[in-house]
Amino acid sequence: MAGVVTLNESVGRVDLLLGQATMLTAVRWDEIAGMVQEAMGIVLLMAATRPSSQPLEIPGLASMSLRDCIDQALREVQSWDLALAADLADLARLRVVLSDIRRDLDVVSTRRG
Amino acid sequence: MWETVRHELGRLEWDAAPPVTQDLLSEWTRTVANLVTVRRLLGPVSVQDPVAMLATAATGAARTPGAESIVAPSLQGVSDAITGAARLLKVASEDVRHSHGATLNHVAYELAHWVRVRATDDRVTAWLLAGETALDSAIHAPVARSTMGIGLAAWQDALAAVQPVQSAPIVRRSVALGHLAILRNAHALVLDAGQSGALPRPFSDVLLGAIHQLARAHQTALRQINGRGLGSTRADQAVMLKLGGAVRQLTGLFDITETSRTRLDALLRSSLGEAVLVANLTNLSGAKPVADRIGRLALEYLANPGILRPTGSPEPLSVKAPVDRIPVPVQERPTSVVVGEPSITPGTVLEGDTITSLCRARDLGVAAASGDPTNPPDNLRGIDPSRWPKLVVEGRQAVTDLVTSVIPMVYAQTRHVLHAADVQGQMFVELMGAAYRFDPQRTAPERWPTYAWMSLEHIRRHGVDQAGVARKDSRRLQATLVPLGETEPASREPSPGAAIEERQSTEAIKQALGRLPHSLQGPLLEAMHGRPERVIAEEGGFSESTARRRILEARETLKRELATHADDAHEGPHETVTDPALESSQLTSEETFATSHPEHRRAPYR
Repeated sequence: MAGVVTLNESVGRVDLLLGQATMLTAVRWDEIAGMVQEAMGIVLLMAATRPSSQPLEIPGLASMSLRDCIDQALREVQSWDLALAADLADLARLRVVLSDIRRDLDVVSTRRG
Repeated sequence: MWETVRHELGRLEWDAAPPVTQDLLSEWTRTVANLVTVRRLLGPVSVQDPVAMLATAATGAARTPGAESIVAPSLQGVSDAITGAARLLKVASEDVRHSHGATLNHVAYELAHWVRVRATDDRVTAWLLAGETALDSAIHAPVARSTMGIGLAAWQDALAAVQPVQSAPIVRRSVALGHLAILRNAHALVLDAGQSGALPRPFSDVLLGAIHQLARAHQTALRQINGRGLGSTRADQAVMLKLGGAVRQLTGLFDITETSRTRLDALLRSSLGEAVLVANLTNLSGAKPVADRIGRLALEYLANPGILRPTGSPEPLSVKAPVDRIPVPVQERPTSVVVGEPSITPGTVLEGDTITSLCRARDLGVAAASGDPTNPPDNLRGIDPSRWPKLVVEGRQAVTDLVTSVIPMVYAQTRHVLHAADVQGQMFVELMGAAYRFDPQRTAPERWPTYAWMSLEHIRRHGVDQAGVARKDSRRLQATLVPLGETEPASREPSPGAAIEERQSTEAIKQALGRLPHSLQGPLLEAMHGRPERVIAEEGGFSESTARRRILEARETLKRELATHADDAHEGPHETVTDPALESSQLTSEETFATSHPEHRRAPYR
């Protein structure tokens, strides 16, 4: 039961992080912003399936950068048991998309140099 | 089968003292449920079915929090009649049932409109309009089901579901996030369509601008929602699941068999994911006017879906057709020209020869875009098919330049106009259409600016206003009120010749009126003064239908008399002068109005 609560809270935190990421990229129209929205779409449904009963707070969320949001969301998702894939159909896709966003953000920052 | 329904629809319109309901929306919900019952009898109902979408919209309208009850004539009669039709359909054979789909859509559309125009709350109206639009596009421009359309139908359904809990921050946040995903999809598709020439550039530019603004408004809304404690906000889980499911459908990988044109069409038909409803739900004042603008652009599209043309350049031309290698002289344009960008400055006065060659390039481009290399159209015979793609590009460039030459007219026409940006959007689209229609063979090429101006005048008078309602032709309204008494009719653009001609015509009409029998003359004069047939009938002591018949008969008699008068005039000794310029202007005017007058196409609904 405690595990379920923890997972639901974790899903809720990823939801908040990706919500912030989506807000930050709301007026960007590139590939990265598209992927952020895909990830957000996945998590929105997960969060609806597994609502958290606890108030959630991520310290400093409002001032977090896109990179920070994605990093923290990916860490959170990677902490989930892979066996959950049986319940969360889009788990693998979420991991892949978050990882792709992170890599693309790396490429962009390298280019900017 | 539909006779009783037809009768009840007539009663709704004409019954002078109809039974009244205190809550129109409740009755409408029940009526829609009956329409859905009929629809189910016709076959399986998909979520994208217009009647299913009408049901969703009715639910959304009924759930609008704080909306006042609407007092209106009762729908009970028509609702019962629909139930009766369902009973008859139930015992009919399957073949017979299938033939009633179109009738059902028409009945539903008429009723949806009837209810919508009686709604007093903007949020309720927006929902009712969503249902009406779904039926409207099913009736007037039906398309096959699409994955995008199904996703958007689910989105509309979710928006209806969240109505009761819309004040919860988590709901407003999810709606804004979901709509951002729709806007992103739309942005990519509109941008692509504008660049490839599938959508007129001015239309796509205005739409992209609105998408940017709405995304910015959503960003502001998201920033204002405090993330703290969102996870513990109590919102109906079923509602959140519906919303999450719809967003997932729209953010997932799209169906690769579905063309971008199909997806964009679905987005435009849905008023880009019900932007107005979303703006109402997120409750951010900045979003509302932009969403309204998107709604109006979507209406423009629905009124003329042909503006979204098949995308891209023609198919690879691999077929070897027997061709004459002697090329037709085509004006070569510099290769550095970027298609979509004008090669002239706005307002450049083009000479007749230039306009003719631009029109020729345009026609070749249009023909090349859709022509079959094995059976080339006449104007492409002799041109190697390998050159056709280049002709397509040159044709689009020619249209852009034609539009650019007259673009300052748009600003001149919209000076001091309320909601100028919206009217300008419509005018850009109209100008693009005019640039495609203008025929220098029929009208002197140097008259292109006149033709463009008339097209814009037409939009200014007949376009869709900010409420999505077709503007009325003010000239016609005035014409019915011109008295034929002592006052000399005023000409809109007086000239000595016109005034004399008008005076002669008026004299002829007065004489013809004087010759009418009293029984016809009276009702006609009354009608000319704008009095309703009902009043004429009451005062004359006869029935309304008799009044109508007498007015009609009087008009017919007058028409015959005046035709004789005109014939006499033509046969008279005075000289008849035909001014080629006037004749040409008349032709242009007729052509313009014949092709784009709303009454000559289908009625532009709202």
